[in-house]
Amino acid sequence: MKQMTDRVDAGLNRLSRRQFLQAALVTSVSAGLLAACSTGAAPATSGGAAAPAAQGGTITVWGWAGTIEGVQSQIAAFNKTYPDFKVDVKALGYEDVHTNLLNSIVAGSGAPDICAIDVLRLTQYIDGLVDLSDLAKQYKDQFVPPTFDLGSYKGKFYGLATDSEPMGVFYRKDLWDQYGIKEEDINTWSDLATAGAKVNEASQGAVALYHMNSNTTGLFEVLAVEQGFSGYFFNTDDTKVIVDDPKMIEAVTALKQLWDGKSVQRDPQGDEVTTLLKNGKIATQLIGPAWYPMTFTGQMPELAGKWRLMRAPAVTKGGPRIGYQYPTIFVIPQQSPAKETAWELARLSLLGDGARALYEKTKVLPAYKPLLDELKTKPDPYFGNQNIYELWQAIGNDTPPIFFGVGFTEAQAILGNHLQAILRGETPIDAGLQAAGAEIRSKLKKG
Amino acid sequence: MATSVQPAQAWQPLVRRRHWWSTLAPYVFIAPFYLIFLAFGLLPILFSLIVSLYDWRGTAPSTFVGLQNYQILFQDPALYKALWNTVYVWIGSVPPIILMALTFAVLLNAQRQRLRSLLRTIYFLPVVTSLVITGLIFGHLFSRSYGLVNGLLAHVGVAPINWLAEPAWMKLVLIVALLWRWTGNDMVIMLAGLQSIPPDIYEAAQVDGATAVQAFWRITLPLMRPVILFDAIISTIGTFNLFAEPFVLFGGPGGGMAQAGLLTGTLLYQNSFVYFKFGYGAAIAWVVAAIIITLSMIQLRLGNREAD
Amino acid sequence: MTTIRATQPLPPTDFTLAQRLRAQATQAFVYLILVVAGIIFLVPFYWMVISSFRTGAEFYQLPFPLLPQHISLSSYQELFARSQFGRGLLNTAFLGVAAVLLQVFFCSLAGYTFAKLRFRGRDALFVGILATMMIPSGVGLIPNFIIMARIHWVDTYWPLIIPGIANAFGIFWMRQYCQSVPNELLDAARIDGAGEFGIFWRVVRPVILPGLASLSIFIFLATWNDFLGPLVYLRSEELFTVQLWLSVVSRQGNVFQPHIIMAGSVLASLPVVILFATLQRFFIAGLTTGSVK
Repeated sequence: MKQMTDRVDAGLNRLSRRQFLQAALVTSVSAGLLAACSTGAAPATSGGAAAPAAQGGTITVWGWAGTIEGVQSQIAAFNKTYPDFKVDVKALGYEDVHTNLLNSIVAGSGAPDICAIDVLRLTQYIDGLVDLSDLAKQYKDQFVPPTFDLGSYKGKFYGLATDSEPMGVFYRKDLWDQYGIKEEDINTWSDLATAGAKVNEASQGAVALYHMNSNTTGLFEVLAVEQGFSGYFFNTDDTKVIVDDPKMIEAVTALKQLWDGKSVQRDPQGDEVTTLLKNGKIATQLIGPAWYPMTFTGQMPELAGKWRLMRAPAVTKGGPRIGYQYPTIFVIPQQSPAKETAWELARLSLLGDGARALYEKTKVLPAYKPLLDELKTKPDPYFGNQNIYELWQAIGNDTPPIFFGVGFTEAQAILGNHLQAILRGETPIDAGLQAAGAEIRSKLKKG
Repeated sequence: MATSVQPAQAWQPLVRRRHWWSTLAPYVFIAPFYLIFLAFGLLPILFSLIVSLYDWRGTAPSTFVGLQNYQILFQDPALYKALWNTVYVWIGSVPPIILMALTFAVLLNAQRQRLRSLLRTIYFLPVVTSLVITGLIFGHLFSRSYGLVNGLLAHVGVAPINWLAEPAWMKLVLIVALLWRWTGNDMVIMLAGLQSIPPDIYEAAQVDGATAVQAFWRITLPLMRPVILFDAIISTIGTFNLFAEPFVLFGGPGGGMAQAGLLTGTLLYQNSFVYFKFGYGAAIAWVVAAIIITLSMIQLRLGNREAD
Repeated sequence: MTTIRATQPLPPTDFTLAQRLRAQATQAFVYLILVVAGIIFLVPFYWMVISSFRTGAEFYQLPFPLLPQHISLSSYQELFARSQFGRGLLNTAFLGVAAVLLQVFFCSLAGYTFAKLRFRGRDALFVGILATMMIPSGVGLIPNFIIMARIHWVDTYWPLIIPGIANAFGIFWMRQYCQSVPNELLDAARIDGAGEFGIFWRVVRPVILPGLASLSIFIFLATWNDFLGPLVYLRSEELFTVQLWLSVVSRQGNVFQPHIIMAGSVLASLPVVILFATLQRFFIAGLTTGSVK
């Protein structure tokens, strides 16, 4: 017994601070030496030396389910022209593709020949990607606006889009009818906020007309494009932050009115929205990108015939009613030893039969114009035989040449924090947006 | 046991062999760690120290900026928010987890009992549940409109709470999720620790007429102190590196509403792997490392003092 | 907390009937608490299992059923149609076993050395190991990838197995465990003429089984749940682990696929649960008593 307690007492922690500091010092000194030796070799080795064009080999493609089906369909066709090349298509997770592409570019090896990326992250990879301007320009007319333009940044072109993501508003026609709301009466966001009163009264609060999240920027982005800012948070040459522009103060005033409306499901979390939409507790989906119907058909097939698509309301009556989210584009890393061949495969996969196969497998809205032209005459039974493809194309046509500037994701996060304080009434609109602007400017080093 | 550096009870062999192998053997036995660590551990650590002196974003070329990243970091409100949240969650989760784990371990420390064996496995289940699932599960349990928790509260007349969007409640949900997920893990640490207490001590105590409760306070707790300290230090390191649970609960590394779920681990991830600001991310990592080292030393000191 | 060792109740002769009844009542109360806590711990897991038997369209249906109304295997079928999940399970099990064997061996050897052998520089060397635990691991991701790319280990299992040998937690853990090994045992072995490694392998190893078993669980679990490592280093689908497959099937385009995740997670958790249920007897009271003496 005595021995036990002795051991425990002794066993307790005679780790002295001096010993610890000594160890820490040794570590930091050696670090300093290494730093002195290696400052010449800067950590970032962007791109990496490209090997000479290969006569054969493997074309590796990375993407996630919903982006790579076109490539898979075109392997045979590709091999007719390029019999010496093997095509290796890898379906990874969405985050996984982005992390791995970054690692490979930074490490200087291991990147694929073609990679699907979310266009909003394009500028994060730009120094490791091939400028495809000359190869791609002849296909501009084959892509619906604005999908071709959004693959470029500062005059260089980096990738063709796999899909197009115009945004509208989805609403439950049966519920709107029940509460006496008509699509033609909703012209501005303000109209929608006002209409909430009817729903709230008639349903006694059981049904919300729409839902909103205070700390996300989805609606802000719609309103920014409506107010003429095709760079969302940034001006057209991506040098200035515009979130506190008077036009955006006007837009956020409309958002605040929407937030303060009578029939709002505020700050739903996780998959609460899907559940509430499915169970008829929310009548409208304000943020409605073109991929959203996949959630409807996958998760709520029993609501077929009840949903409709309309244009997003305007900030001021008669103003633009548009919105656009972030499609996927196929980029080619500079590391690829067979850039031209990779381009040929990308082109095959996103035009013609490749685009058709992608659409057949995934039903995402095509960026390939001839295909969308065919589809727009076809009514969609899920939407009560509405010609939603025609409406999508019209919204896309009205969208200015949008782009995603440097630091887009960081600006989203910073703005979200300030927007939340504004909508919840903790900060006045103009002061809040100015604070957001100041923080984005300092962290992104923009004007 | 545990965290001592100079255990007084080091083995003094009765038979001394001044053989070259006896002198060399200890170094050979610990060499694998150092060799592997030199190859795959030290280099990246030094690299990150250097990177923290660069402004390096994404694939763009980097520029040397000296201590600028640290200067910006110390003025960044997000750092202080993350630190405050992490300390909050640390205090809220580590002591209860240790207490529950020890309690479960003591009560379930018995061989050949079906029910206890089953309970041990049940307490361990959350550890093997994947993280996405943990996020989904807690999202459902704490959902405002249809969650089980609000459903139960409604019976006692409490209005629905938006657990995952109100800053104060968000931290509580995170703490509950951590309790759920990690108690079973720490129970295994405690169970293993209990095995090193020789049963004859309890037998001696029984002969002396000690009750089970007395035995717990006089024997189990003091003898488990090193294990508890070990667990506390590991948990502290874990909390300051915590990433996955807040990520899945609050929809990404941003920390959700009012950044109430932003922790040092998610701040690091967000800057490094969402914004691709590697230099800034490395600076965060080193500030966090300094805090972890300080806290561990304080814990060691306190553990030491209590033992004296 | 009144029953320290329920298997060895205090001698009943010392107690009156009232005291005995009270003791039994306390024990029943303790069990009640344990079972209630067990149910709370079980609820989320139960929810995952029954969710995996619902279709994608049923997943968001309210109210949520307490019992599955009908068992649909469609989530499992979709999972296997969209991934090589079975192969993934085998791959991850292989990785887990390899990691456990290597790490447990090296950690216990080093742990024993730090606990029981005397050598110059021991304390400083141990502090060094402790310090490595405190650096956030995320910062090493990119430099590590660069190293692995240079030595052509990308798309092999080596980066997932070899660096793990430098497991500071494991050494810390085994050192702590080895300190409870009685010195008399080591002396006896030495008198019998056992060599340095022989003492560890033949005398110490059998005694520290509980420590080895629990460390095995921690290592297997860490390997099994590791996502970032396989994500960064594995490229070939034949090598993918369960966590990678879960990530691949979790989205279709932009749409989250919760039902498939549920099915995958049920399958992914089963092997670890079985492993725990099997190994737990090694670190529960009673086993070591005999071997130490």
